[in-house]
Amino acid sequence: MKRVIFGLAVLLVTASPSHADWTMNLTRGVTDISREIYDLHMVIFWICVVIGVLVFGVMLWSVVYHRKSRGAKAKNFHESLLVEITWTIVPFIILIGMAVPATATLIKMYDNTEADIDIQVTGYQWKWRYQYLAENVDFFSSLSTPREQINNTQEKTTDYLLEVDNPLVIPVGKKVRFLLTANDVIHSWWVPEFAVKKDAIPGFINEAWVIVDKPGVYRGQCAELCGKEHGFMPIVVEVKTVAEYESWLAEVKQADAKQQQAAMKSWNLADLMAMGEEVYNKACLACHQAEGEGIPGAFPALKNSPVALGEVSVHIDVVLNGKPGTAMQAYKEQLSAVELAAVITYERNAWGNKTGDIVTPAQIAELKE
Amino acid sequence: MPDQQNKLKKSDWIKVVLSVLAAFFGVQSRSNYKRDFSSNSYWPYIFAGLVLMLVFIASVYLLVRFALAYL
Repeated sequence: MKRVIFGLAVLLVTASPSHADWTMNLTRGVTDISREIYDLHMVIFWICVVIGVLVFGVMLWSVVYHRKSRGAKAKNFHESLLVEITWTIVPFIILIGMAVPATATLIKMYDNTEADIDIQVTGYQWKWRYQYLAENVDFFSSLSTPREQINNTQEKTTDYLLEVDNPLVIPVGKKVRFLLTANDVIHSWWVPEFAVKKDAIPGFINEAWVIVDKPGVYRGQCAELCGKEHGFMPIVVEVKTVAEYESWLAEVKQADAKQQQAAMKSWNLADLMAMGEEVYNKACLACHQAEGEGIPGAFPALKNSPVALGEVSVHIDVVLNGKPGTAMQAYKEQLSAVELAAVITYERNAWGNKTGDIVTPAQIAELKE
Repeated sequence: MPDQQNKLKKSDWIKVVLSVLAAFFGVQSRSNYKRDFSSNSYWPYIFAGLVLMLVFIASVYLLVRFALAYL
C-alpha cells in the first residue's frame, strides 16, 4: 500500500506543469480561445477526479468496513424517493455547472464576425490550397519531406512528415478567418496550438478563426481519413509580425508575376526535364511511383503507357482536367503553366519513354486561360 | 372530456400538475402513482402534459436567448 501511494506521489510530481516535456495533456496553445479550452478541460478533468475519488472511496470503504465476515447485514429496502431524487439532481447540477463556462467559450468560438483577413482553405488528395480572398494570392501547400526519408533509406529529420513547401503565412494579433472546404473527399484542418479542428467537406463551407498572439511556426495534420496519403498532407502555419507578413505578401505576388513571365520564354528539353522530375516527385510519384511503373490494379503505369506515348493533346487533357471516376485529379489549378509543361514533357521522355516531344509552357498557359 | 359531474377541483389540478412534473423529472412515489392510476380520466394528465411541454420549450428558448445575451 505504501509503495502504491509513493508511486502515485511520484506520478503527480512528474506530471506537474514545471516539466515542460510532459506532453500527455491537451495542448495549451497560442490563442486566447485555445487557452480557455485548456482551462475548461482542466476544470472538467478535476471535477471528474473529485467525483471518481468520492464514488470509489465510498464504494471501497463500504466494501471493506461492511463486509460479510464482519457480520454486516444488507438493508433490503426498495424504492427510496429521497435517494432517487438525489441521484437525479446531483448530476444535473454538475452538468449545468460544466455547461455554463463551456457555452461561454463555444459562443466566442463561433463568433466569426469582423475578421481582418479571410483565407479559403481547400483540402485536396493530398495537399492543402490556401487562397487569400482579398489579396489575389493562391497557392498549394504540399509535403516536402523527401521520399527517401519515408522509404527509410535516409535519416528522418525532426519535422518528418510535418513540413511543407509553401506554408500558410498569417500575421500576429489579427483576426484571421478560415473558410474551409474540400475538392474531393472529406478532410479536416487541424492545428492543435490554435485549437482549431474543422472538417473540410466538398460542397460545404465551414468557418473557424484565430488571433495568434505569438509569432512562430505551428504544425498540424489532416484529421479525417482521406485516402492513401492521409498522413502525408501536413499543415504548417508561419505566424509573422504584421510588417513581415506584408513583405511576404509582396514577395509572393512578385514571384507569381515572374512565373507568368517565365511561361512566355522559350524552354529547352533539358530544362523542362530537370524541372519536370522535381514536379513529378512532388505531385505524381505517390500514385504513379518513382519509375513510372504505377501500382497494378490501382494506379496505371506511365512507362510505355498509351497516353504518355500517344497523342500529346490527350496527355495534356488528362493531366490538366483529370480523369472522372478515377483517382486522377485535375492539375490545371494545382500547378503553374511551367510546372505542367515540364511534368508532361518529363513523362513523355523519362524511363525509356522516348517520344522527344516538348510541351511548352506557352502552350499550357493558353489552355489555362 | 370530463363531464360536469367529475370536474376537477383546484386542489386536484395541483396534484395533476405535480404528477406531470414528476413524470418530466422521471421520479414518482408509489403512493402518488397508485392515486393517479385510480382516477376516472386521463384527459387532465394529457392536457397538463401538453401545457407543461409548451412551458418547457418556452423556457429553453428563453434560456438560450439569455445565454447568448449574457455569456
